[in-house]
Amino acid sequence: MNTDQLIDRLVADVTPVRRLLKPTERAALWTAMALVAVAFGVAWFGIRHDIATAWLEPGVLARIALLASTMWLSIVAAFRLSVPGGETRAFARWWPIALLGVLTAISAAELVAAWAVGAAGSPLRSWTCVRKVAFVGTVPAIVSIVLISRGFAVEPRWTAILGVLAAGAAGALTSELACPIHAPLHVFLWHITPVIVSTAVGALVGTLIVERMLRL
Amino acid sequence: MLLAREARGFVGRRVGWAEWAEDVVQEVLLTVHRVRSTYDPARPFAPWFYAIASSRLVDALRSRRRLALREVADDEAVARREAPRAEAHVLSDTLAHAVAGLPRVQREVVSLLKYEDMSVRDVARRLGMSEAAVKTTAHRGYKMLRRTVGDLGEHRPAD
Repeated sequence: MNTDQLIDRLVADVTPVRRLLKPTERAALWTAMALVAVAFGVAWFGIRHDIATAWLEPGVLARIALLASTMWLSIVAAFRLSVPGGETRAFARWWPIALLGVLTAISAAELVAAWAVGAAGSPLRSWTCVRKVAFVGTVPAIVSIVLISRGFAVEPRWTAILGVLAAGAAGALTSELACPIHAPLHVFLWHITPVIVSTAVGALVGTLIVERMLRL
Repeated sequence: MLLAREARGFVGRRVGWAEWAEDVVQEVLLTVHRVRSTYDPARPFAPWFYAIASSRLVDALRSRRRLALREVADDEAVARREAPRAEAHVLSDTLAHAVAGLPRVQREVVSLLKYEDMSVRDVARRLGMSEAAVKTTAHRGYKMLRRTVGDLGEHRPAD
């Protein structure tokens, strides 16, 4: 088929389409869905019994705030990157990564401080927090990749990384709200590390999916 | 028709009139048709269109490169015989690959400055960057191109 024939075919096929919502609007819808998943996860695993006092702990508050910010900024950046010509500024995509870095640094600092006084905790206790991240994060991750694929991700790898990071942050948020274990080693290994690992693994798989859907 | 002309010009300025260039033009048109829901009429059309065109061209260059790596043995035999004549073409293709391998912002800045002959001010306006940022990005892009083209040159079979 030559280009003129292709144009004729495309013109004949053309039908009105509904314009994609703005990235922030899509991010708001996704976040609402992710918060429902978090609420469902907390209801399923049970809310931490010390929630009344946990709210007063700066460490817990900082982690919840950082995870919520990472989730929001990641998904907004992912949807912005899925609109051609929409976002060229590097800082928009680095912000969520920087927040995850801060979260990791804070948790690592707490771990080192606790280790120094022999109160880091056991690495073997309650590894099932990984299940919380996976249980709650899977659906938002799939939805984010599907929504990203409805656009046109000029940079599939970055877009997939940010989409999966947002979902991982939602999963870790569930762990913070459902798990009462304070031990820094537990928090670092089973709340924060799964976000990093799932982002890395999801980015590989997500990139392949996004790239494949771009070729369709 | 207007879009086809734009796409043809965009691709032609970057890779010359290669036989596969028309395939890229068709890919661009198909993609524009398929993802038209992502266009926001409140925003300028050109960045949206060129981002799609640039992405499709990069995809085509990458797949050609993968193909070329697989067919290197045959190519080597032909290249030995036709090396002098093909030298200019190889250099242009190498440069096109190297430009395609730049990070996106650098690629856009270098392409607009060098292939489209746009001024720094026009590039800054189109990409929503400051003129200083355009100059810095272009400088980094040229530096990376020098390094990449140098590396590719060292590994060319004809050498």
